Amino acid sequence: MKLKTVAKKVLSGALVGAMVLSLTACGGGSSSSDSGTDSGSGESTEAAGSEESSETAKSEESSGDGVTLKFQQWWGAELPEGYLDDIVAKYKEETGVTVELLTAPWADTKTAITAGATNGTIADIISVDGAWLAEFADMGIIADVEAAGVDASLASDIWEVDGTKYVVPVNNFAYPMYVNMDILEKAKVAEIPKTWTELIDACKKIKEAGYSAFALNLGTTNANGIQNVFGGTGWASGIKLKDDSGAYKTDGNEDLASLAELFKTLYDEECLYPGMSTLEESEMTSNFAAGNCAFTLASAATMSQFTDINFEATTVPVKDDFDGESGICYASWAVGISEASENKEEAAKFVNYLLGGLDGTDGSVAAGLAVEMSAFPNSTVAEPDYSAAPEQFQSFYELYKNCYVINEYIGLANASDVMTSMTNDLVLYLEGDLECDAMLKNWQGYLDEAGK
Amino acid sequence: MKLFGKKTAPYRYLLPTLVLMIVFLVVPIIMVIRYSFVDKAVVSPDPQFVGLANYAELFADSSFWNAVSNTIIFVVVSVVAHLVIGMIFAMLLNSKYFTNRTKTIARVVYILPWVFTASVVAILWKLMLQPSGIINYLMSALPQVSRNTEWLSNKDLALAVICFINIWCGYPFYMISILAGLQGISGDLYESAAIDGATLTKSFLHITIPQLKPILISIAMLDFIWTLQSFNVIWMLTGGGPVQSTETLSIYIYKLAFQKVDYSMAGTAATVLLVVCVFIAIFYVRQQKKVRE
Repeated sequence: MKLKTVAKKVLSGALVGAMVLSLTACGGGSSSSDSGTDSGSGESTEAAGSEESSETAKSEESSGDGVTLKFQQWWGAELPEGYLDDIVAKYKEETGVTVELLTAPWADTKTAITAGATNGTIADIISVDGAWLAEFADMGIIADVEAAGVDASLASDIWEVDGTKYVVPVNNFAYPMYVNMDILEKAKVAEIPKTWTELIDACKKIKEAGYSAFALNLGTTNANGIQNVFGGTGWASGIKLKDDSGAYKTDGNEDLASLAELFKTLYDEECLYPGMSTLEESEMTSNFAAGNCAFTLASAATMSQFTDINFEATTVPVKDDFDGESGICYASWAVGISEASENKEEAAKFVNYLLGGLDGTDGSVAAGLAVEMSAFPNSTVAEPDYSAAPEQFQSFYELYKNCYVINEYIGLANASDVMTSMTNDLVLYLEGDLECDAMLKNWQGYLDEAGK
Repeated sequence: MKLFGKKTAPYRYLLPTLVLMIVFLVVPIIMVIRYSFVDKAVVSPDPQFVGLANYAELFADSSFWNAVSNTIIFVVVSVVAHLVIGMIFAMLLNSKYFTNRTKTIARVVYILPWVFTASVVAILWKLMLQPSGIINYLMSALPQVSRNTEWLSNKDLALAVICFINIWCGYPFYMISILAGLQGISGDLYESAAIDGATLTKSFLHITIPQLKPILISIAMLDFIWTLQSFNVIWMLTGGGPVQSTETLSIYIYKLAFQKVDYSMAGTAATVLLVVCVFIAIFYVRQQKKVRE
């Protein structure tokens, strides 16, 4: 046999061998890693072949009891760099348990979790948005946190589906109305509007002065304007999607009709920020930060972005005859424990640590996160010190104390899809292509059908 | 036949590619097709076989037909415009009336839109098309044109604008391909035609077009498939809105899978799109075979 032929055979054999090995490594990587982190198939960590598994093994050797928890979240992408790493490093110091952070932007986290649940690589602890709660519970992704060992007394609120406690909020982000005071001054609006009539008058003046008045984001890439801005404005005046029995009731809901009428008036008066039907939340806040708009409703966490404008954070104007307690829209950084985790107990301990430290009395972690992100802790033992927070946040905090937080979309099945459909109808209504009654009837249909 | 004999050598060389294709192409496709025949795929540990029920539901969904309609408009307009504009620019760059330096500069400028990634294209046009953007500022010089036109937020305009942007970023591919084809046409043909008294139009219709036909059909087929699957630019510019006016099949499928978490219906719609793409691909392969022969 010629040398050339032998070389060819060796090369082809080596190529096939390399391919088989690499595919084996690819296929086995997740399971070995998972088992190492106690979230996957539960196979032995001895399945060698991947760098990841050997690293996991090393970290297990160094940890006290050999437990590594994976924590899938978007918090790390929004917190100052290294903040969350410091928390888990301190936790490891105190308990010997390694918490591996899997950080992705909020928009990618849901996909990462559902994909992980499908292929068995889901993390032990997962961040859950209110809009995902029902879907995750329905899919069996998340476990009963109380059964896992989470101390319910440490949390003011735990999200439930059909009576089972699934998700624990760590921080709540309220949605104030931000006001650009310079625009108000230029438009000769003396005071921040407190009622809808004052709001409409102020918006008209602002529009006449050549500025955009009120931002309503009705883009459907992430259709949350219907919740945060439209819903947030309604909740401030006690206008709800649900009736007293807790059932969704939009069809024939006169309060909701009046809320829709408010936005219709703003639209007809050309007071809404242009391009609303494709405007996304991030664009809305960046436009406010650039001084392009007088009023917007956004998370208190975005306050740190408004560095170049003279602004105030306040509660949303209420319906003229309303004198009750105002609701404030909120979103949360919340965590659940994955059903597939083999270390639910350890995961629950970490959740307890986030809320109340190791002994259940130290709320410094939750308090620190709250102060850092201009949020409010859900921990019953956290005592955040907002003295160093921006002046606007402190004044909003005083107003916040007299209100209650509300979000009727949390726990709604197929919330993202329902909000998209509702948003499309709202755009049609504002543009005059759909009657208000028909819109509210359609909404009732979406809400009734959700999850069926 | 020996396992490592001469006869098996070609297959052994092909094996790595075949394994990769099976793992990353065949298996996912089969999985998606399987999703289309079961209920609650992925989200349920025990999905039930439902036969063609998902297809019946899909074809009864008005949003699906809206997406089909938008996709047809988007694809046909884009492919035709790409072809016409690409041809015009290629002929300009192949013309003897310009110096080589001018042609080189023009070539660089014309190809720029194709070089930009989808995110750059989306951000660029989103900024320019904002109601307070430069397009409206320039348009305000024209009579009867509002300065506050909401190009991407007006449901009557949005699809046309999306088509325009897709045309803008896609024509250079045609231009380069056609230019290569034009440079391969022998000058003798045009000289002979000129001696016989053929006009420029006749030369174009009876020499240029027939000579370019294999290239034109190939790039049109490829563009048809690419445009059919176009997602990034539309998603980043409008997200399929306002009110589904720019929702193409790819956006519709994405929303089913990742907003509605209905992988069964997403798989069903994806399978329909796959069938369409396969037919076009078969046509493309046959065309390529003819060219080779």
